[in-house]
Amino acid sequence: MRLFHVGVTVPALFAAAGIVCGASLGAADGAPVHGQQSQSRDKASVGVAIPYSVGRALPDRVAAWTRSAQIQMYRPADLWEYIDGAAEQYLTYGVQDVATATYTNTSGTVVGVDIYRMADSVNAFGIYRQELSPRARPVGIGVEGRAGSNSLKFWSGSFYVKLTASPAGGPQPELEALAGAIAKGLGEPGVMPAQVHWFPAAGLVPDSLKFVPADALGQSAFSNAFEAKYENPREPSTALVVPFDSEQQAVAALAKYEAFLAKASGRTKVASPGKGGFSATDSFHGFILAVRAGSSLAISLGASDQRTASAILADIVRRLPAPAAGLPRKEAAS
Amino acid sequence: MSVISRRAFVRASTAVAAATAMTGPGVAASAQETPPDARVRRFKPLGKTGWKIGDISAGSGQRDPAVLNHIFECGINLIDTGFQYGGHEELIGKVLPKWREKVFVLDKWDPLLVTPTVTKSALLEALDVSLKRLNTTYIDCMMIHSIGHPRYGGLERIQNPAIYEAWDEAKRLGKVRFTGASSHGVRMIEEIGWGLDNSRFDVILIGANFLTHGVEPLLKKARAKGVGTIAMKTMTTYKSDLNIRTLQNEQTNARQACLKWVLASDLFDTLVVSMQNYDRVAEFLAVSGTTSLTARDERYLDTVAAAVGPRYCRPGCGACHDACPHGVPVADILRYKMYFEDYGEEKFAMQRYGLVPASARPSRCEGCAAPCEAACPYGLRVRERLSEADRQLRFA
Repeated sequence: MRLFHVGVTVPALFAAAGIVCGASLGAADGAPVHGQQSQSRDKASVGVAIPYSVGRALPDRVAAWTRSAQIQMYRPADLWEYIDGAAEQYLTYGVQDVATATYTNTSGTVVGVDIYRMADSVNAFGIYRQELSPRARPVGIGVEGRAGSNSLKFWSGSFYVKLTASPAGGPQPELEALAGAIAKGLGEPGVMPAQVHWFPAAGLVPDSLKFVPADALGQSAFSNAFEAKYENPREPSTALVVPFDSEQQAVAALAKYEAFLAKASGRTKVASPGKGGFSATDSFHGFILAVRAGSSLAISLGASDQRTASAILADIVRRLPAPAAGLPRKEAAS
Repeated sequence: MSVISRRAFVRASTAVAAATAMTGPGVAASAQETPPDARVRRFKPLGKTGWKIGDISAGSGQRDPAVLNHIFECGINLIDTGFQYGGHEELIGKVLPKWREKVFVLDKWDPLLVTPTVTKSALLEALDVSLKRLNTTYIDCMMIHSIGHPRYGGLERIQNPAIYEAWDEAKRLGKVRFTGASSHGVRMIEEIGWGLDNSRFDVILIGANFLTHGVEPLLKKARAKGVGTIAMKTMTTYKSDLNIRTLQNEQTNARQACLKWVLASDLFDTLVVSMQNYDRVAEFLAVSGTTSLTARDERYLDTVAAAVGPRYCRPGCGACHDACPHGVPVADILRYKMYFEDYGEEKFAMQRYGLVPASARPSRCEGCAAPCEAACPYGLRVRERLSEADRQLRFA
């Protein structure tokens, strides 16, 4: 009987899930995953918890790259051990676990690879866009990917992947080859979230579309929102869609948001777009237009005038599915 | 300083009842009323920096610049950020110009950058990146991030002279005014202590809350040297949504009770806490100005201790690490037990436990004098919990 390092050893973990056949993966997949100690153990006694093949995603060799012996795994409860205060943002985006390893190439360049498994593809898209550097060069890896001077980031399915070389920079073609192999190991990349189609393309600032899982606009009731920036004479304006489970919830959230803006000037009820709502002007965001469409709120901030804001929101409202379907909502934390 | 006593803690720990269980994520928020005019009510000197800082300061977590602007409007005048906090520096940069002279910015290098061999030029280069992101020409306090954490290296890391050469140069150029370090790692006391002994830090940011003990000498040493002291990880759990059912409708909720303990201490100049939304800002500022704990506050803390304490492995402790003569990794096993019981991570906990060799499992505890219990400063019944862990986590 073949013996493995126990715990998160890839074949042992995933064979039972039917996703990966341990025997067919070869030596690369027997790499031990981090633990304080390890021991040999029969694979049959190990459970299945991580529903993808870490070993397939982090092969032992890719072109000139060789993987470190160990793959380390972190869960939400101990993510701070790995990335310290940055963990909070990943928790907000529903991180499930992270697998991390290093690769070294023949010239001695070391690259750290982190595979974050998020709650779903929308959250993978969300954390990717949140960490997106606009100066990075687009690469055709995953659903979206960008390469900087010493890093490459992409998202694919429910995974967000980061490759980071030393600050001196890594060899880009080799880095892309490694990233490509990792993406292949993660399976089908999927497509952009359907919600991106809520936002009209005209005037949309490139790469500005984001997923905000919680506390959009600082409102504890606004979760699972999508926002985008639109060209505007001075600073870009912001358009936001916040889905709720029911029309009643959306009505209540709109009323609460209006009450929050009680000190804003020029508060006025509006009858449209959608089911209408209110407009106001505050010192930070400028002109605000907030309306309800079914069980969603559509909000424009900082547009140059009501006509512009209304036009963008009217277009968004037309694009929302009827009845507006959002993501399953998380309970507000507070 | 009002500190929950060990006796009180043990009493609370043994009084765990269903009513005090931590609530799940779906439980509604607390019912505490917060004043509409949320303001910082107390300011204290931050060491010898010359700054008077609000007793409650802001950590990261904001996503909307308007929330950050609101935080500053409420009188909070210290913001804590870090290079790798996923766009938080840039968010601050959107608001900071308006507040630059009124707000103390505490920033940290990427912990992975600061190695025993990192060069002065690499550190200064990274500093320039942070300055650009923050939209400012200077940072009030630049810190080494997460010292005392084995992942990032040992004492040799912070003994790298390049760090101090970079700080000196940055101060000379007016890019940095004060310097320091943050820590909540297992060697926090040793490494922060080294920095204090060698007069390397102007400000320290450490993991501390009402369940952590043993940091008082460190804080007193910092005080004696005029080093500013800031508490983080004040809520005890790994994320700041500490909900406890029985405190939902009390005057103070669990989060506020934890903050009040720090505020009542005279060893901290301020605390940093994540403020993601307007509600949290109001909730936290509602306890600003606290200078002492009432009997009711102590009761609330007892409740939190009962819910959290028995399973809480304190940052910077590690007292049991070398206590077991049989090499049983006590702290690790108790942490796996916590994953199993508190976080619903049963399979993950069992997998982790599966990595512990049979020769270092709690079966070795039989007949042992349990020096682990003597080593635990929190009075936990370690041996009993190890046996429970073995039953829970081993594969049948």
